Amino acid sequence: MIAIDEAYVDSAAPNADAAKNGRGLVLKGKFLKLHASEDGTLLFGECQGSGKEPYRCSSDFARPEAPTHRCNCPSRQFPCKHCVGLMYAFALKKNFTTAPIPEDLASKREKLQARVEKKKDDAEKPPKQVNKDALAKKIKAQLDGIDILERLTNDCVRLGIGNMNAKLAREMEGQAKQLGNAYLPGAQNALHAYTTLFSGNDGKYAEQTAAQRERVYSEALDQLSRLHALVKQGRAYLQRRLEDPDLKPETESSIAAWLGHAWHLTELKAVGLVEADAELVQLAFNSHDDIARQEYVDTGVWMALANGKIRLTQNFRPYKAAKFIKSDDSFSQVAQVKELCVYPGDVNPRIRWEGMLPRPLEPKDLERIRTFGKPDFAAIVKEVKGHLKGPLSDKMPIYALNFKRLGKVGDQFVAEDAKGERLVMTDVGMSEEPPSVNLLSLLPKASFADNTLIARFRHDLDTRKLQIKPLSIVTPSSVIRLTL
Amino acid sequence: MSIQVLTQVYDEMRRLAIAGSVVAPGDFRLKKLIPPLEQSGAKAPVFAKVADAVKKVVDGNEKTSAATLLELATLVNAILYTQGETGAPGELQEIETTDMGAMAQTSARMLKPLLEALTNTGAGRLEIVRDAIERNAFRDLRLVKPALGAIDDPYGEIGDLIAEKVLPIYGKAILHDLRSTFDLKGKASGHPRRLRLLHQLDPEGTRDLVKQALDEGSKEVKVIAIECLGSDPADLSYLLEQAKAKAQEVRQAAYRALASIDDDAAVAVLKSAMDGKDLELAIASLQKSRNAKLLRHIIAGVEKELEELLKTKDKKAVSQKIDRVESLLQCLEGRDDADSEAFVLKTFGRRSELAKLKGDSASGADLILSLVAVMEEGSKNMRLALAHEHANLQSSDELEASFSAARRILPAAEVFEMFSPYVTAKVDEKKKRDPAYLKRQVIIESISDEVYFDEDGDNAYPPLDPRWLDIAVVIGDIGLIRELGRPGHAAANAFLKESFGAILMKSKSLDDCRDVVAAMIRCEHPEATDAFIAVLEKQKKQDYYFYWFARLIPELPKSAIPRLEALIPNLGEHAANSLVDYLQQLREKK
Repeated sequence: MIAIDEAYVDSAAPNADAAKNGRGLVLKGKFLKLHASEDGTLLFGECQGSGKEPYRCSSDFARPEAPTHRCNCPSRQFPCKHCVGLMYAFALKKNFTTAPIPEDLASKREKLQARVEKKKDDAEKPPKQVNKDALAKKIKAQLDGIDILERLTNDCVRLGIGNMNAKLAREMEGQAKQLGNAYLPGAQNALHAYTTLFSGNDGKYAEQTAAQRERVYSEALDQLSRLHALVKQGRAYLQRRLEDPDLKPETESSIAAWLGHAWHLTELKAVGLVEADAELVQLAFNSHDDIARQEYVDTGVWMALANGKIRLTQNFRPYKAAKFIKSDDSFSQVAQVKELCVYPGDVNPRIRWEGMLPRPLEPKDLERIRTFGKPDFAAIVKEVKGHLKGPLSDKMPIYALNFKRLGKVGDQFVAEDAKGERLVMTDVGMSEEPPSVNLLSLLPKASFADNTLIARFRHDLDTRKLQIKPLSIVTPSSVIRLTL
Repeated sequence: MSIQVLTQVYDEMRRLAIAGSVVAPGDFRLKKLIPPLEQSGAKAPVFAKVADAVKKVVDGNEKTSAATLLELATLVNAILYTQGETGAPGELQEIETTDMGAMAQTSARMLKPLLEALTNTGAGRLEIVRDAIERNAFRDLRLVKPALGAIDDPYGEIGDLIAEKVLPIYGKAILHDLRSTFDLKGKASGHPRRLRLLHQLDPEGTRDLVKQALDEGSKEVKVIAIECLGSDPADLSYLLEQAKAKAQEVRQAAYRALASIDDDAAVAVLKSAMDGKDLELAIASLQKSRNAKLLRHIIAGVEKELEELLKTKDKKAVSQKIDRVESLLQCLEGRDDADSEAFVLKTFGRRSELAKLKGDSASGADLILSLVAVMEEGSKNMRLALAHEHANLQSSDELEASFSAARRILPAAEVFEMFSPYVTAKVDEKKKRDPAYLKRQVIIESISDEVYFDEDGDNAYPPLDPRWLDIAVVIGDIGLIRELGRPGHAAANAFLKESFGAILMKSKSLDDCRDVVAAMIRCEHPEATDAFIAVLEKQKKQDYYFYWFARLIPELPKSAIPRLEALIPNLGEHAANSLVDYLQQLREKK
């Protein structure tokens, strides 16, 4: 039997409007038929739409962790309001009659079953042979793209960052499109990240004042040297693959992702980047507008209870399709995941999973999280620095720190470890999340001693200071979120 | 020492990258750094590498300049990344916090739109903020700073809502912020809001700021500052000064504050306001003051004006004087002391004399109406006098005041006996000017208007005598039945059933049937739900008045829910939507 309540349907709806409309369909009595399969794993029904024929919608709970919603309406929202309404009807205990599964649904179910099994088989089978000629052709195109990137980067330097203006930035944007065509979306984004330094907050290029420009110069130079490193490492990597077509995408570093390789879960499974039966707790969340990528990005910061690693879920919602993609929400329970796929990357690699079962967060989980906090700031700073020096590394890694106390030195908020080592807190340069440092003065006093701080590190190129931004504080009784 | 060289290299390299790498080859400032780098290189090989990279830049040509400079930048940045400074020397002090009490954590999906509503501009934000207040979502520490920012919201309603409903939640924790962003001279509405809130949260700590605002503040801030002063005698000198201010708003605020201070100087200011041109500005303050001397001055003032008025002949002057006397009479409203009472009753006795006054824009009748209004809200004796004089009053407006006064002071049965004859009197309905008709209407309306104007129960009257319903049925006034209805009144039920049938038959729109159905619901008529549904069925095509009609749903019995739900599929889209909303309200009704 399916155990769903209204809250479950609320969260399954892609957005608040779909939830409201779905509920409205039930109340308006638009469902002409409501059926459940004999084994109780499938809900299906007919819902009157604006046309003559009703829509046939169904929600299949054969896999409770990843239900399948089907509907023949043209909506691109998923699940559509009809499926949401169907689930509401069930949650609201409307009268569902038992009926045999319609043929088309049965065959779709079988097909899905087959697909799932095939996927499982595929995951176990050695990956299929790649078309080497096509691969070589693609790599050559990528190498050409790298040449374009090199030319653009060098042009920027030759011309001087100070001479960058709105017109040039727009021109570069245009040329960056060629990188997308050359199978280098990652490199394209890196170039965007550079040009957006010269754009306003709205993503439009307008002439900037001298003071505004002065602020971005150091960052711009760092971005350019990053592009330079990307050109060098990318070219070397692509040439290696061109010479040896059997070479798999690299999983030890993030170079493949930098070039824009989209990892298939099967690839990740094949190289063993999968953790079984993981339990994860979300420590922080943010949803920001990435102008460079032309996408909204929902980022969840998760810790695995098994190994204490901090990793990220990322949900990209391109502007053009934002309406049809379900936005992620913050999550305050424990996510139980059968197969956790980890992307290649450095300190906080990306993770992904298909289907998750929630369970309540208990004090022992929080205790567990707290044991993973790093108590020795000196050691962690060394690790962070070693990591930051890599030109393609993530420049704002997230760590869990066990502090002795939080306090103030002058105007600065500071975290101190047991040995008296201190880290200064700041919001400067970390604008993905809303400002959080100023929230400390609103917290209860007890949270300032012997707790775990989830913090983002950032090295400021102008002041040459390595500082942290607090994301949340894990106390024995709760996760106090300071961002989203 | 060596790190210093490195930062020098960084600075030069940054300069060249900004200017353009074409000027890098042969750059002598960069070149100068090679020897010290090489020197350090002897101890730490990484410096030798930097020296090499610098050499390549300096010795290169225009063509290679970009690549070599980037090479150097990558290297130097990598090293500098490992040299980030951490820590903060000095004594570690405690973070000063104010406990904000239990705070919740709102989910991101809810929080994000709210954060955006508070920090952006544009339409639709007020709804989001209101909704969040209702759901208590502001008890989240992540919203404190954005809410503080929203006190300056260009959309006034949001700013007010934030200042009145949201920020007080956070208590003293926000004092520092409010203070540091407060501008005495600020004209934008955020600054007066800040001052009021600061004073509300911490009256003692805000005193200095209030005083400063009085001296230097903008007009808007001053008005609030005066409100904050108020009752403390020590504030008197400030207020006396502000009463001379140029700006009307400031003077008015000063009068308001002075009214609650029992001091001769304060009274003197109010007296002169009353005698001069500021009378209109000061009415509310004069009314509020309970100072005996001032009261004597007011009464003497009205008496004097009244005597002069009665002697005045010029029509224009009469009007002006009447206006002034009316204003002065307003100053006596809400008083129950013996002096006011004696004066008001005495004047009430001179009605016939006053009624003769004729000006060009005002007349004695206006004056009497003002007097009657004072009596309606006045002492027990004033109300009694007004009530018992009901038969001798001239206009229906006066009768209305008399009825209202009677309801507040006399037993329900007595009120019924005094005023029901107006309702049962035989009137000529076609002759709208018939005074008897007007009097009947005014009584009926003043009973039925309560539904619309006193829903929140302020100024509620004691319940009416049950016999009113009997006569409502006798005269067949559905509006009155709707107001007075109670369950189980056989005559009312029979009448309503009959009327409903007739009205439904003749009805052209939902609105035609609304009153009778509403009356049936109020009387808990056994057929109320049937009637409601019958109307909907008849008028289902026409949903212009639907929302208004559907507002009755929450008053129906809960047993109506399944029957109404069954109707939904046959309704139009809009009608169905509003029905669903109202059904939800009915479902949630206790």
